[in-house]
Amino acid sequence: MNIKITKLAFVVAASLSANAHANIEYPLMPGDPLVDQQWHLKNTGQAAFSDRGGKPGEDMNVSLTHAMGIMGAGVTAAVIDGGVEIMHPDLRDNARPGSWNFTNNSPDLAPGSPTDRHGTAVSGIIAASAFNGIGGRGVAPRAGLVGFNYLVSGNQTMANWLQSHGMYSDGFAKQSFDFPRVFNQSYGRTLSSPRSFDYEESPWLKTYEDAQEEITRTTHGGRGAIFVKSAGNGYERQSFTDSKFGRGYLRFDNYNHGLPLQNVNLERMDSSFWNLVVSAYNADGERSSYSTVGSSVFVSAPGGQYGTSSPAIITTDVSGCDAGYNPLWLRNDLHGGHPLDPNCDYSARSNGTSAAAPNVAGAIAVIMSANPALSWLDVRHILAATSRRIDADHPGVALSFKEAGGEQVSYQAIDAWQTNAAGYQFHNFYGFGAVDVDAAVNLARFYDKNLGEFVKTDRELVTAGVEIPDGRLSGVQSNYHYAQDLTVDAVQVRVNIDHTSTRDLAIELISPSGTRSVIMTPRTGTILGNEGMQNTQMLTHHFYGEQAKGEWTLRVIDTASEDEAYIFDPRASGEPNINMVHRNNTENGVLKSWDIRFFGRK
Amino acid sequence: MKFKLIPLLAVVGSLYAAQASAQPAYEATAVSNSSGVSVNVNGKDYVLAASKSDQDMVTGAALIDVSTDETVTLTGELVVELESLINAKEFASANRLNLIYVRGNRAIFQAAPNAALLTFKSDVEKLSGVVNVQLGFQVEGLEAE
Repeated sequence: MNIKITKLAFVVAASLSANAHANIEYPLMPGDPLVDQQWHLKNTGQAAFSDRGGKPGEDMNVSLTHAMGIMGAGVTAAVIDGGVEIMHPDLRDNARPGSWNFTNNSPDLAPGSPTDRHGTAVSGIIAASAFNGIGGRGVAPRAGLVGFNYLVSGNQTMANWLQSHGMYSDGFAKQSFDFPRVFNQSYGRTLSSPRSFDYEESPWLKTYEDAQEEITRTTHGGRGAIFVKSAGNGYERQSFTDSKFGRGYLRFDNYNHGLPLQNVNLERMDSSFWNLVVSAYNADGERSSYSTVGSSVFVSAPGGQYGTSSPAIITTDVSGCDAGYNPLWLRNDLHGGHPLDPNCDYSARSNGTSAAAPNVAGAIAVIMSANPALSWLDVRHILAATSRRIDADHPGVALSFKEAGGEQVSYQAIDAWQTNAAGYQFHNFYGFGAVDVDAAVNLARFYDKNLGEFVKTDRELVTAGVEIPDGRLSGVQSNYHYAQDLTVDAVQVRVNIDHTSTRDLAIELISPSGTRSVIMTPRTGTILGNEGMQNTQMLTHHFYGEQAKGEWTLRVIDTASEDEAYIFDPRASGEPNINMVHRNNTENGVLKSWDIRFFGRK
Repeated sequence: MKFKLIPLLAVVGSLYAAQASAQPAYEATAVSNSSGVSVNVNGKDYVLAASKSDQDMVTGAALIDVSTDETVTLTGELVVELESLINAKEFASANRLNLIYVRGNRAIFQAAPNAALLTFKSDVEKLSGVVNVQLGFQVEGLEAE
């Protein structure tokens, strides 16, 4: 009998799998009143309580996976965030032991105020329950949840960072701990100057990076865990505090030439291999207007827009019509006591890469649930191999600028979709593309690939000592030869550059196969970057699957020879906008040295 | 009439243009309320923020990296790597230290609220069995995205 059932299950599974390849559209299973509006799970063009809908098919594609009952059971996700209303009616069934409130040293993770809403929204995107007749559902509606309110003011200590990121204390057993296989970090920084990634000067970087490597590689019997991180929301504007004008936003009337103010490689921990960084796309299947991008983005997921003129994400909210997202300025139609949510337990205005990251955390929980034997490396590979190309016709972004000699030239700062020498498609906006849960689960269930032994090489120093001509498209280059056989997962570079206007600089890495990755886009918001780059670290996934052996080329190009005007918007004071200027520098820079290391497989 | 109006419009237009170009444009400047007091923390040079006058650096003191304008705040933690055979709990008890975290040979001790942190660090560094010590700090600007 057992044999017959097994055979039957195999036939059903194979049939469903074949159907998945045939691109048959499955409806989302009913059972939650808001699920029909959750475009990020299945986009039918619904408006999600905003003014208009998006483009059908631009979603996480979970329908078949959920229909097969694969919903994250047996996998716990950690939400490192603010407070979480873990007793929310749509979250409590998935709550697991191990949450910790650092503010009052208790397992009670309840939000500290009605506006402490972020963590509850993030948690619901991962694992709001399904088929319970209330609200919507998460990507992994049967995954476990634990939370840590690390982001709350006063909690950002090193001990709390370690505790919340899986390095729980031996001597202070808070309680039994359902150890997560996926950690969600919907947080980051906005930077106005490049930072150093130097273990000697900032030992905390090594402490944190070592911790994430240890948790990733050694937990769960070596199958490990994955840290998911949001890319940031700094494409069009960035927060900035000026000595004269106080807090506000910076933006350019020319939309910064179409280029991102914040490149994801500016944030140090986003350039760490141990964080899987996620950018956001909207219901039209295009980059969310705010999403920070760059070569260390691994994949993209729904983050939506603002939920007013076009959809944001529908998820759990702090309960009550006077709490959470419900009282927000510019409500959408769900808020304030809609018949589908009379108690205001849900929001339709969650957005940001904060919302994109938990979509991927949920997807990873589902993939791990579909095949618990998969290692962290397998899961990353599955995501890279199955994510789908969106916004396929996006041409990239070309920067037109006047050279120091006066000639107008063009620099391709962000490429259109590229296929690398190993056949993987990559775009600085979307990494390997939009996560496709059904495709990923299909590969996970029948996974038989041996990726080989994971290798992290030492950093190899390259002395360059070459001048970077001011405002010249030709730039400079420096080469490095790698002699070993290695299949690349990612490449990490640190640069030492003397320069008085880092905003001007574009940095490229070119592989032996000829693939070009722009690892630092020009015209970032590093308006205070007049001290160059000292051990500034950048990561790229662009060369995934290529061979490392051969000549690697680093190019640095100074793309500016003119002053640039921009706007400072004092957001809180109600003061008028202030005209600002970024003065052109005329000095040549110097690429002093750089180092390179590979993450890959032998 | 038309003949007279056009030069008038041109004059008005140029006045507006002059006003627009006369509007000052500022260069961004960092908030660096430096006290001018240089300190070295974990091997890196900082200056104490002006709002904190205590040169001894206590918990909550803000430090500025002048090359990047990054501000860090001291958390009062001492992150200590101990020799592998040392029991952190016994080590803390023997040395009257407030142990708040331990995992393997990494221990974190919390300083008393107004303790001078450089002195605290120096004292712990001298203890037998200590391999490495760093002052714990919070890097500014972390926010939900």
